[in-house]
Amino acid sequence: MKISTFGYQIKQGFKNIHRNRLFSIASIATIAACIFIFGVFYSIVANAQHMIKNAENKVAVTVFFDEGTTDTRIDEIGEQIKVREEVDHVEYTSPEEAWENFKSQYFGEYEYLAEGFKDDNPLANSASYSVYLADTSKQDQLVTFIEGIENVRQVNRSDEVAKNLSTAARLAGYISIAIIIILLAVSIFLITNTIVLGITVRKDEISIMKYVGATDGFVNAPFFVEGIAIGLIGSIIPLIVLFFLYNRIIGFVLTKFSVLNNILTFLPVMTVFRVLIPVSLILGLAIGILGTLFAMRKHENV
Amino acid sequence: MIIMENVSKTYAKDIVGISNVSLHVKKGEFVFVVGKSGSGKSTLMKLLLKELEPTSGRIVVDGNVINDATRRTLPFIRRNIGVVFQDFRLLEDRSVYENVAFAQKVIEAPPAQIKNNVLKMLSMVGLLDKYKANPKELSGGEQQRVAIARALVNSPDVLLCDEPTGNLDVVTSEEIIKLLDLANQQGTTVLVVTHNLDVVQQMRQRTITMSEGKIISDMAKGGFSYED
Repeated sequence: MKISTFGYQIKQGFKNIHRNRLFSIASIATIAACIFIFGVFYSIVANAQHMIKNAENKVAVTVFFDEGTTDTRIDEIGEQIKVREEVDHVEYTSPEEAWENFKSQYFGEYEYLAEGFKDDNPLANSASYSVYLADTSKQDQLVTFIEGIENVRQVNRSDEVAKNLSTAARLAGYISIAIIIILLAVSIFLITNTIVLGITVRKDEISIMKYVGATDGFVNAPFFVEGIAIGLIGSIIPLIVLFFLYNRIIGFVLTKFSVLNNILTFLPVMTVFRVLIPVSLILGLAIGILGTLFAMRKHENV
Repeated sequence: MIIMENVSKTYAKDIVGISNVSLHVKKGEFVFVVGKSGSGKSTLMKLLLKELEPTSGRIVVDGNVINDATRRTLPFIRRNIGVVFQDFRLLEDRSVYENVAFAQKVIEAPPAQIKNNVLKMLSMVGLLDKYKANPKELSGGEQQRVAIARALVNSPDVLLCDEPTGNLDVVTSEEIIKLLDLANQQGTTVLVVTHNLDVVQQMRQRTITMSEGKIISDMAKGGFSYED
């Protein structure tokens, strides 16, 4: 295609958008809504996964041993646990460290109150392993395994926060996929109708074009320009809105729920948008091209 | 230039468009096709443009077998066939110049060539001074002259005209036919489907008469066997 023809086709495509501006606006708005919702859910899911990862890093199973278990045996148990695929890493806490931690946690600045235990560690049999999980969903499996090891007295499970977060993130993912599929279908339907309307309005022009020898490519090009432009505009608008909303919402959540600041660790806007920008643009482009193709198939013989 | 060999077209419910029509138009000829409504004139025109597929027979225009034309090859065949309609079919959102230039843009002619050719064509049809006008501001005759300029601007070998004077008064009709005659004198083969017997008699060119889908006469110098 020659450059002058390419310019002409682009101009005709934008003329089509202007001619059918109400339908074009409706299409752009639907695509924008679809991509906005996609962006919102993506941000939620990405942040939830980020928080789960953080929570998982803080979650550990604590393993205590029978009274009188030797250090060598404790080391052996440690080795047995470390090689498991569910395990990320293992930290050993000696009875002395356990007592020091206890003292600072319970007596705080009144540590002198523990002076009575000076040479007699009340937690002498409280050596433990903190086992950090690579995947919290496999906690049950790991606990069953550790409980079966000889000389293991007790296994304390971590709390259920990570598990619940995981379920919530999965649910949010499913809901977002369902909503996005419905909105995608509506977007494609609307963009198809917009272009069909454009074809109907230009029916005479298209028939004259064909009489004077226009190829299908020449006739169809402006409609593809129209579809692609609507798709891209429909994806750029929500990206801009989301970009400005993201930090404001995070700021709002952190101010209103400052108690949860330890749990709520959000991703920086650019980390989220590194994925969101290309995916949204590709979605917009795909909706535009698909809508145009459907419209073309409906009106092949104009 | 135009060859039809035993061409028939039957529509749904066995309605006959044309039946076993054979026709041979030589390069540079000017031919009228006359006949009552429903005689098959429009079907013949649509078959030549491949707007309709023949039920049987073979059609050749400008050396191209129309039956074999595909979606890919048809546009290039049509570039050698100019078409003029009774209702002008001009684009009312564009000027006279743009309407004619449109045909050149479609075939991706270079911009400099477009300007030159369009102005030459508008000069030929006598509308150079109205190149900026909108088709709505023109009379019927002027609009048809723009349509002729558009049909001829790509220098087609064949010009097909479907009732080109159907919406025009006597004087204007004569002007339009003179323009078609001028195109013919410049080498274009012209086929005109018409009801206008006055024009046919005046021009004294080869005239084919159709009735009930068949050619019933093919006479030189404006002869026809048909009463309006």
